[in-house]
Amino acid sequence: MSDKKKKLIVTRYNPEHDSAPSTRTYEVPWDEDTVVLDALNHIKDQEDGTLTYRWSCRMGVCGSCGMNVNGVPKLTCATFLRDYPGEIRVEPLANFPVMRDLVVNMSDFLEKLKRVKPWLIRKEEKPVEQGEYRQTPREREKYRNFSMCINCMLCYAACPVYGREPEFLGPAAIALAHRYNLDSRDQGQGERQPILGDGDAVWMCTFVGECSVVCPKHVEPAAAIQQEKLATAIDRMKSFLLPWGNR
Amino acid sequence: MSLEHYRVPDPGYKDYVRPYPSTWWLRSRPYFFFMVRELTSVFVLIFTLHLLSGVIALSRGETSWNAWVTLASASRTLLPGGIITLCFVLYHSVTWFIAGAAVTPLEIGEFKVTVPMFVLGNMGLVVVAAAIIGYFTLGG
Repeated sequence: MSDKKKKLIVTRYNPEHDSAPSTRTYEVPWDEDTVVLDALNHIKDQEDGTLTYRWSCRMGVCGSCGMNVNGVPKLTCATFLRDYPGEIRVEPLANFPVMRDLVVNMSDFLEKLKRVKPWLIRKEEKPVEQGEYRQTPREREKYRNFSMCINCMLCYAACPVYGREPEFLGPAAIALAHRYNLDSRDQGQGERQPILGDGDAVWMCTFVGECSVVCPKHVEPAAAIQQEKLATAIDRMKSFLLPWGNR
Repeated sequence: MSLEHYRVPDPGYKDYVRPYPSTWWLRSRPYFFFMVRELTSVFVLIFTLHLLSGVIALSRGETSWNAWVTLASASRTLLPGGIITLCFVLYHSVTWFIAGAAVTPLEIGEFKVTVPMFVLGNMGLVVVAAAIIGYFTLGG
């Protein structure tokens, strides 16, 4: 590690003592390979053991270390200090309640994720001895992009609709619902459609598009939401024109 | 051992909910340009209402139509307003087609239509449609 030092302005909040978050500035050593998570680990190991934040894999897979870095939602394990010429502000992920320091309360997201039933739904399960549900590479390609989501919640932190109206179902939950709706092995679209077409779901999206921009896995939640708008509209039209039909 | 055994008691601490100011769209360039995109539709609405009033005047007969034309010709704001609206419509249509490419990923057989192809193709159609309408209304 070189002698170079970088200034990190970190949000601190202790619910036992503080009425609101404040910031504390730390000087951390860094080189070309230092990421923001390394800098936080340095602070925790060397300067202040009470600093609290989530992390796990350090390789952009687990989705635990999402924070706002200079106002932009980032995975801190993949955000290099070298890309920031000045001081760096590290805050908890925007739009979520802060539990302590850089840790946010993700209960709301987990509840929404469960609500959209992000798993394969079959009208009737076939017996195991009949083998697996097979799929061609082309069928897999239809949903592949949306299956890359790691539930890091960066898209929620970038979404002003969720920021203003937290009842919004939100980008990742809708993208995952869309992923299963597009899966040739799934038969649960009918169960998910009423949830996606509800007042607090796809129709709340105003297509700001930043959810897709900040996604570290290049998932396109904005596209998923617009495509689900189309599917929901077609579904409504069908139920209006063919109320007796087998939809 | 039951799940209850592992349950962590609620410490009773309160989460801090950060305020979300109504000036959120001034925080970053993408948010700002999103707002500009939304604002352009207001100008399009005004232009459309004006055009609609012309169509209604036309349907009411010659006197009504001539009165509408006289009023429109006398307006000092119509031309600059029209130029501003045209710029905004072009901006809105480009952003709309970029958005459209994300909404409807097109595949022709094995071939995937890219975003630039989608935008340029649609803008090309707009130019062709404008040329045909222009030919019949102005020159034809």
